[in-house]
This record gives sequence, structure tokens and C-alpha cells, in this order.
Amino acid sequence: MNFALTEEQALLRDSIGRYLAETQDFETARRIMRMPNGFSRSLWQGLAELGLPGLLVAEADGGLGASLTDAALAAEELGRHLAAIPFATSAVLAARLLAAAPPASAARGLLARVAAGDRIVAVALDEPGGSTGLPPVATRALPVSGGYRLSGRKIVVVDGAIADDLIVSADLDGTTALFHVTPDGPGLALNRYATVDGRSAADLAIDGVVLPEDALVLGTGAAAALDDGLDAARLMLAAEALGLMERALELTIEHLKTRMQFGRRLSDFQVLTHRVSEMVVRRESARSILYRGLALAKAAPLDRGRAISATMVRVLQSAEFIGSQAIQLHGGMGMSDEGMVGHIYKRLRVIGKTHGDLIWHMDRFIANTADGRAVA
Amino acid sequence: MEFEFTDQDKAFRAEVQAFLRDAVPADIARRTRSLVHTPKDDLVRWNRILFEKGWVAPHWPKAFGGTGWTPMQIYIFEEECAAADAPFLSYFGLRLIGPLLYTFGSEAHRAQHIPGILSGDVFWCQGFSEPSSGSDLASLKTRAVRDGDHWVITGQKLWTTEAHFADKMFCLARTDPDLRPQKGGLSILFLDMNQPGVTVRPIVTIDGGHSVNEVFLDEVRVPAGDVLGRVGQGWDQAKFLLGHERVTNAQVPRSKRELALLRTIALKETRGGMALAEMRTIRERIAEIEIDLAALEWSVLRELFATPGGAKSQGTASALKIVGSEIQQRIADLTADLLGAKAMATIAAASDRPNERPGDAADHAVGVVERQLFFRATTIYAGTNEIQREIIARELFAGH
Repeated sequence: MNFALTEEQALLRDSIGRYLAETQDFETARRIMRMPNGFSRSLWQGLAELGLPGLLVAEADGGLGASLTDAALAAEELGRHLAAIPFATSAVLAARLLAAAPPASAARGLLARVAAGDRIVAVALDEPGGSTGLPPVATRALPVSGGYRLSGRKIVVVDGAIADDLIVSADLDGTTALFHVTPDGPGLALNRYATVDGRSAADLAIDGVVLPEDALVLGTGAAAALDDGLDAARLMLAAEALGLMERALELTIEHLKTRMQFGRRLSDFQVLTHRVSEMVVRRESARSILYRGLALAKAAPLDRGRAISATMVRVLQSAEFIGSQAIQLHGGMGMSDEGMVGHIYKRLRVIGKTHGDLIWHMDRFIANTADGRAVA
Repeated sequence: MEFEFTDQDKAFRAEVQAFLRDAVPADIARRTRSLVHTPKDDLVRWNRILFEKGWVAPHWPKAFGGTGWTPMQIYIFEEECAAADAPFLSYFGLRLIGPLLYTFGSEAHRAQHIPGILSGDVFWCQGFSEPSSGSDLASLKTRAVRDGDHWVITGQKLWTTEAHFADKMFCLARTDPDLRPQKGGLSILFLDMNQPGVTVRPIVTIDGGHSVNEVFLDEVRVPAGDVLGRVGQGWDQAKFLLGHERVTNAQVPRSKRELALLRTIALKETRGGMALAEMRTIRERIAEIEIDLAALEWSVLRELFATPGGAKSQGTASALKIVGSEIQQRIADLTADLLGAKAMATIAAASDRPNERPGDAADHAVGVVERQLFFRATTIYAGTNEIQREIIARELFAGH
């Protein structure tokens, strides 16, 4: 066990951090929020040149073959700089699903382009009345001559509005399968909308979309691959949340040091500084449980799910506290759209609803806990 | 960063488990599970067992009686001791004055005092807090005045844990009334608890138990040489203690054990024919605690593996204390809640007071109510949590 960064890890973190510090100040981030779908392809391409989209992809598939722990360092920098890019979606979840596809398949071919950042792939899982992308799936895939016919509805597809390609879950003969769908084909209608963090999502109405045979990304094993890919994406979102929390704390401390009221600095008021101390305490808990989640990311599925839901519960609770208190301690300035803390808070809120919320994670944690089992 | 436990650590854990299986006497284990205040005799016996094994002071440098284990091994050892219901050894000798002696003490003082601390033949108490000086040591009133070859100590100490067990006290006193405490006005002196002028009065805490005391010092004479290190070093020595036990106050091993006991109680206690462990509200409360405890454990690991010699933030230790003490309370609170109405009364061991058990209270209920009450103290002692938040804030807002 070792908590110090390796030389490679420090290099990775610094290269991403430096690039974002140079190109992505808060005004830039706000400008991107006003662009179509809240997305800047030039920011994405800049980060792609640093290898970000292929970080977790194996070298044989055109990536860098980094570990989840390495990638978490990069994700933390994304949070710190409020970088609106589809990292967890395309570079983590979609990349892992494509990597699980059979060798020499069309999906594996797409993976190399995802790793290069040339294609952005969103994953469509949630359905009306359903939750968090796990079976059963109401969207149906019917085998037809030469391929499949897909019908159903998908909602709140994160980054679906900016995706070049979609991976869609559907029921195929009673088991969950994953299909590669292009967003502009016939039979598919996208409803794109903004999310509160200035990014975007989409709903899909899939009405008899005809797919070729090689559109099948994964048949058997899709559920397990989804489980694994979602957990990896969650860890990256947790790391991003940590970077957001760090930034919110820095801004709040700076504000308390400089803002004068009643002839005194706000940092002279214990009722305020002790609130910040509590924010620090909860950030530390979040960082610790993130490391624990990363440590258990390769455990057997039941233990992994339990550990990663524990991570998400603690991180999301810390995020809500730190985000909301950062606004509170900024006073009226915290409510302004021109201030950064409000945007940090909104991004934290969206993270808290992506691939499972607090309720979902607490449910899974309890479901994966055997009675009388000692604390892991 | 890389988060794997080594095979050596796993083998070490097995070795410790094998030793503890037979080493912890059953009667001591039973009392450790149920009593808030460990009897002195249990402390003496367990200290002796570990001393003979050579494992009594793993956290000390090897040259002074430590084991030479890695921080991870020490943590594993403490976790396994808690899991085996071994009592937590008396804090004041092994955790406080021992480290003070090998860090600040003269050769003669080390030779005089360390053997008795390790063997458990000499018990110590800590004379720091006073009626008007709890967390604020700068306001200390106890005076030590030179009179020829002696110091004459007069004052009053409060909340002195285990003073009634102790053979000796290390006493913080003002040795120079003209100097500010921070600027050389304080020293730590050694005194015998059975000498003239020392009076110990028990303080019964809200749980009905006794481990803290009031100690009156009335012209207590100690030889001029019985000062730890140099005269006037007391402030630095007290500050050293504040940062020395960085992870102990997190109390993770004990809380893990107590959460495990809570789970077994939740399986046995029922409401309306249903085990509490099946109730959604209970499962969720247990889960919340377990998750926070897991985070705390990893905060402790981060601290144990921090770069040796790297800058140590006092605020980090404070954060561990805040979370650790709050979790101790949450576990004790929930454990008592599991007993329902029976938690209106304290529940003694059957062998002690057979006629005073409410309802069908089972053995697992013994001591639960007392613990819940006494654990109000966890957020007060070792620096109240408000003081800990102030320490964190001062680091954050340094220079402002």
C-alpha cells in the first residue's frame, strides 16, 4: 500500500492540470456552457492530445493502459477546473463496454477511435420508470434477416446530445444485449436538452431502427460488462466530485480571508471558520473512501458493488454538504450565476444523479450486505 | 498510489490472531465487551501477558522496548486486539509519559521509569486539566515553587483519569510565574500519588461509573531533579503529546469491534417478532455508520502511510479525532436504541446483580446503556471537537 504518487502519476496529473489551468479559466467554462449542448470540441481535442480519452483503454486497442487510480487523478483535475467533457461517459463507460466486445468485431474497431478522441460514444440505459440501466430492459431487439430491429425509449442519456455514436441496451431473447446505434439514422428521434450543470443530455425514441448484425456490441455478458463499466464510471465521477469539492473549499477560504463585514474579515468569525473546518473533515472522508473504492475496484462483483456504493454514498453526502455550504458562506455572491461556487454545486448535483443516486447506492450497499457480516 | 495489502501483512495478521486466540483470558474478554471502565486488575494482567510476549509497546522505538513493526503491522495488531476483546492498555504510561520520557527525558529518568511502564508494575496518571483550565492549558494555575532541593507543588487537577489506580503522576505546573506558559513558564514534574499532600477524590460520571478524579495537591514536595527534560519545557512537551498519537484518537479498531457487536445484537433483538436486523430503518442506520467508519479507516491508513519525515498537519490529526469520536457516539447510541424501552435502565451482569434486569434483557445488553452515556465524553476529551475544529481553522486561515 502506498499513497504517494509515482512519477508517472504526478506527470499525468500535472499535464492535465497544467493544460486546464492554461486553457480553462472560469470565464471559459461559462462560455462553454452557453455553446450548443454546453460542449467545446476544441477542449475535448486538446485533452485528447494528452491521451485522456484513451487513458483506460489497453495499449493493444490504441490506449495508454492506465489504471483506474491513475485515471482518478485526471478526473480530479477535470473537476477542479469545471471541464465539461464526456470523460466518464465515453472514455470510461463506453470504452469499457467496447473493450468487452469480441476481438476483431466492429465494436473493437470503434474503440480505437474512442481512445483517440475522434468519436464520442454515449451509453443509453435508463428508461421511463426504470432505474440505472440494469435489467430488466423494456427496449426490445428483434432478430431480423441480416440484423436486428430495435424499439423502445431511453431517457436522460448523459452526453447523448453530443455523442457521435450511441450504445443502447435492449432485451434480446430474454437477456440484456448492447447495440451500437448512430444518432442520425432513420427511426431514431433525439430530444436534446440542457442539464443544470450547463451540459446536456438526450432522450431517445427508438422506433423500429434496423441495425446490421455487427451492430451487436455484446450479447452474453452484457449485464456483467455494464455492471463493471458503470462502477468504473462512478469512481471517475467520484474523483471529479472530489476535485470540485477541493475547488469549492479553496474559493470559500479565499472569500472568508478577503471579504470584510462589520469592519472585520469574515475569517475572524468562528461560526464561519468552524463550518469550513467541518467541510474539510468531510472532504477528507470523501478522499479516503474514494481510495478505498479504487482499492476494491477489482474485487468480486458483490464486494465491488458494495464498496463502490459505499464510496458514492460518502462522496455524494460530502459533496452536498460542501457544495451547499460553499454557497452559504459566500452569502449573496454564492447565488450569482457569475460566481463559480454555484456552478460547482450544480455540477456536483448532476454527478449525484448520474448512474445511481444516493438512494440507489444506499439500497445496493444494503442489498449486498449479508446479515451479521463483519465490517469490511 | 497503489492500494494492495502485502502478503507479509496477511501473514502477520494470522500470527497475531493465533497468539490472541489463547492469550486473552475469557473473563477479561467478557468484561471488556460489557464494562465501560476496565478494572485495574484486568489492565495489570493483560499488560503482563503482552509484556512477556514482547508486544506491550509496539508503537515505541525498538531501542526503548518497541517491536520494530511497520505502522501497518501496528495497526493490524491493534485491530486484532480489539477484535479479540482485549482491553485497551492504560493510556497514560504507554501512550503519554513513556513517549515523553524517551523523547525529552534524561538517561537517568528513562532508566528509572521506563521499565515499570513496560512491565505494568507502575501506573501513571496525567495531571494536566484543572477546574479553570480544560482545553486551555495556558490558563494553568497549579504552581511549583522552588524550596532548596525541592519543588513544592500546590494546585488542583480535574478529570484525572485513573488517578485512583496510579502510582505516579506527571504533573503540568507553572514553574515560573513571571513567564508566560508558552514562553518557558511551564514544566512537567513527577510525583508519587501516595505521598503527603496528594488527595484523590473520585468523580462519578453520568453513567454511574468511576474512572476520572479530582486531585488536590497541597504543598507536595518533589526532588528538584524530578522534572521531565529541562525546566520550562512543559508547553512544548504538552504540544508534542497533542501531535504524537495522530491516529489513536480515531479509535477505528475499537469502533469496528463495537459495530460488529451491534450487528449481533440487531440479529438477536426483535420487535413485533421481527429481528431488528431485518428492519429497513435499522439496516440503513447501520449502513451509514459502517460507510463512515470505512472512510475513517482509510483516513487512518493514509496517515500511517504518509511520507515519513513529511510535514505533519495537526489539522489532519484533528479531523481523525472529530470523525472517530462522533462515530463512537453513533455506534453507542444505536446500540442502546436497539434495546428499546429496556434502555431506560442500566443492565448489570447477571452474576453481579441478579434481580435488577429490566424485562428480558439478555447478556448482550450488559453495559450498553452505560456506554452510551459515558461516550458523550468522546467529543470532549483529548481536546473537545470544537477545539479540534479551531485547530483545523487556524491552519486554513494562518496569517489572517
